[in-house]
Amino acid sequence: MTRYRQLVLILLALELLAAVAIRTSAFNRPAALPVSELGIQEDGLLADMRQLEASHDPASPHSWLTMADFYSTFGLLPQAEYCLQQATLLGPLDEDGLMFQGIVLSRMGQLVQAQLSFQAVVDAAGERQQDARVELALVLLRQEDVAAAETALRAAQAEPLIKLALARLLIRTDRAEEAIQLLDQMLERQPGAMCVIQLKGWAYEALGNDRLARQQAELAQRHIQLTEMRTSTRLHERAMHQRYGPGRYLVESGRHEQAGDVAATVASMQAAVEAMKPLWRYHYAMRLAVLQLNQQQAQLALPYLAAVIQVEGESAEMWDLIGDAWQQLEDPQRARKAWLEGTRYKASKSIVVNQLLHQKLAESYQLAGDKEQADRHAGLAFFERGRLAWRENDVRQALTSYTEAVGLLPENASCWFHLAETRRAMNDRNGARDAYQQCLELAAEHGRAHLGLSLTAGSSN
Amino acid sequence: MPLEVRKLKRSLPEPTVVEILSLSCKFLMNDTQSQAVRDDREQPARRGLGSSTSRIIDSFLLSLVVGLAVLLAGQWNAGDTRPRLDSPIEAHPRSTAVSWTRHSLQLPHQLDPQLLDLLVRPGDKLLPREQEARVTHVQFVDFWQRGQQDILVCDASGNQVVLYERQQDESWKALVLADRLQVPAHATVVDLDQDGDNDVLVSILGDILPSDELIGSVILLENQDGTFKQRTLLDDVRRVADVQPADLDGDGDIDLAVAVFGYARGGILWLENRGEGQFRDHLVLDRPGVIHVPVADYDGDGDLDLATIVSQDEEEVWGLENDGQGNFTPRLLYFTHNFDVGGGGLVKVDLDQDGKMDLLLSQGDNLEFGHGWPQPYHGCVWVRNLGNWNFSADQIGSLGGSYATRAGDMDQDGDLDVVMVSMSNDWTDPKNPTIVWVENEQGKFTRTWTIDTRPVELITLDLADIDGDGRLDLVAGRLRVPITVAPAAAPIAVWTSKGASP
Repeated sequence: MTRYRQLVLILLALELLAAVAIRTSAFNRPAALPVSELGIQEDGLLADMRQLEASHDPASPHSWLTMADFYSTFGLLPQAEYCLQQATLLGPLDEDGLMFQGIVLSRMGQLVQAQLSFQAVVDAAGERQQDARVELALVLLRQEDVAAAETALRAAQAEPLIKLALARLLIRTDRAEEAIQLLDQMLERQPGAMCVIQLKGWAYEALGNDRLARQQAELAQRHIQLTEMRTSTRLHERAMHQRYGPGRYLVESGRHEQAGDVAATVASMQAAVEAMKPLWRYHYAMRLAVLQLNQQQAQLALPYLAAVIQVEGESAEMWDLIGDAWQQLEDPQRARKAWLEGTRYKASKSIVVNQLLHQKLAESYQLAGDKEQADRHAGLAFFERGRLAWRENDVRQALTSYTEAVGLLPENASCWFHLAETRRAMNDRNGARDAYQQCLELAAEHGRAHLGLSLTAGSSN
Repeated sequence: MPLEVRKLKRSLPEPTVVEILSLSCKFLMNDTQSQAVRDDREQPARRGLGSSTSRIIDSFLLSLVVGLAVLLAGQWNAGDTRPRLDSPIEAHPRSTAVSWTRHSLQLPHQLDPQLLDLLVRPGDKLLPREQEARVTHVQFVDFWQRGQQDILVCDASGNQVVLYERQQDESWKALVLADRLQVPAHATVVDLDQDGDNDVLVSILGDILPSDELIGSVILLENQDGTFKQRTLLDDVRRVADVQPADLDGDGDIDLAVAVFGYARGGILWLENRGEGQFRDHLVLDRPGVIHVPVADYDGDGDLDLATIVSQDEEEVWGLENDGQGNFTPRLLYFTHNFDVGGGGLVKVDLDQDGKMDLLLSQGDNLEFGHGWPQPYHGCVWVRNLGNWNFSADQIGSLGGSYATRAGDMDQDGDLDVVMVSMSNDWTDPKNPTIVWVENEQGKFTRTWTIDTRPVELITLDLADIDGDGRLDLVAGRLRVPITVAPAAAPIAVWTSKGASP
């Protein structure tokens, strides 16, 4: 054998040894993070992601789980799954890791595998057992495994979301009476829970009890209290959004505000608005504008308010603030014009604005000596105040406000209708009947007034 | 030779494993050559067959050394290379039976000049900004009854209803029929006043985001010789998502069925036409999240019934049986215990062409999390009318984030296929479809074909032959979901069919 061939064979042998060593992990280097391209994403979030990636320790299972958590929250699910796999290679997942694995698999639609992860956490009977029971029940419902889902729902009943799901399942499987018992238990704890009242109405509907079904349906119309429907997973996701990206600055701004540091509050909010570029979150721009208005800096606030209208479209809320800005800039005519534009729309995000707009207009017209318009807007402000009270089941306040409203706006059919509904809710049937009739004189085809009138017929107080 | 290697090594700042191994190979190669020369010089007798076999063996061994070295280096270096992950989502192929060309439409975006005066201080300028793409409804319609399909669009961030008229040169001209509407969700074309021209009923949502407030309404855009007068037919209700015209009480005039989506509370109303433009509202069903209310004679008894999809946490399809006089009996046709299914809409179509009206239900709205991801149950459910208010339900086709469905004969084989658009998908992978069609093969829907992968986030769809070539063309609208991972895309896309792929 030539010297050359000996050398080659030695090299070959060394290479084979190296290959075996790498395969058996003797020299296996930890894997790198996967490519994480977010497409169009907020600058602030992107920066946070790169920073997190830069500090990632590939030898640490915890670090892999942290990355998986981030990727999962912000929509990079294959990346999250990959990180979980890497963490698993470094050792068995603990309870949190298994729980998180289940959540990622569940979000990726791998329901059977997710179920196994949640079941493992339930079986481990540790601190996350209840969270896992909730997720297990939900994942079984998603697979329409009704029998297993019912068992899991019963085991996870502490959560209102799960109780409601169980009640719905009972109604749909001809056990509405049991559902009513369950819903009554919930109402003992939270008497104003709108969804619970509503579902109870549907349970009566399933039992064929139309009277009680209608009663619950009407009750649900004047309650707003929402039941906590978020699982621990959802709450965690919300926390992640507050920890990274523009949300981080929003939270920071809130903290400064609570501490009374106005300058820092505004600065943080400005940072939040910068961090959301090139995307857009309307309430960030709106909050910044409100802070600036609070600092008597209308000239700074106005461009943000205009931007919201350009990007999102007009709304009552925006015109209300724009009116405030002009008022601050000592231009009452423009302020009034802006508030008037606001009354073309109905506020939904901050519904007190509907009342505020009319209140401000009433004052503005009063100052301008226009009593007719001042009274009109004062009446509409009472009407909106009545609606606010009604939706919170404060029928006494609603009655006062609607009564004031019809006094100022006797030609407004809506005011009479809502006064009638309020009187009926307070068992003032004669008063309700009168108000329905007033409404129908002004709007003969008001269907809900006809219905209300029919419900008051044949009886008196 | 080693000298050359050393020189080279010094010239490289930080040689990688691959480079070192490559240089070693070079050394070996040079050594091999020198050995061969030496052998040739010292042992001329060895020339011939034996020598050439030896060279082949040497070359083979050398190749083995080099190959293994490269593999090892690759494996070692892999630790530093970030792997690019493939999307686990199945990418449907494209059919050769039919292909399309995509055209993009932009929305007109202009603020009333009178409002500008309230948005900027005198002397200042308003910075240009892009409006969010929030197209809530698109449809093909021969609006002016001229034998030409136009496109009617509801734009929920521009608060406008826009008609795109197709021009001779195949371009589109935008005409704003109404603006300053508070988030229009749906436009229904009907000659409500029966004066021979088309009016438009607009379902006013009031807010694109969840809200349970009384912010919805129904607005009539009354066509008065090409200008449109706005008149409110219903207000003081929660968010309205759909209005459909029909004579529901058999008195010969046009009544309206209204889907009040609301949020946690909503329902179906019907508005009885009382003449002279007056309508009286009646409650038909008290359920939240009703999206569409398709009207048809579902039981074949000669009067028009209603159907509706109840979304939110209920995920049901209801039939509302009409007694012919506007009295409705509710019938639950379909429900799922999976309250994450995300119902997106309901359309009527006799899919199997058996004379009984079926329903197609879109399932795929899963934006509860910030980023919707395809689920196995996303797609279209065929709620098939078996007669006498019996319906079966089968999933046909699978598309992550499926939000709207239409049926049409896409491949011109005489049966009805199904087209779906997707609102949410893994948009980081450009292979994932945003619009697909599912082929009807003798009543079986097994093959799904990608039509396109852009624009993304589509929630509304319609089909019609707009160019008169006998093939169905498509239009879809985009609703941008804030802070989701998605590439930039046009708000409206039109696909013209080109027939079979070349």
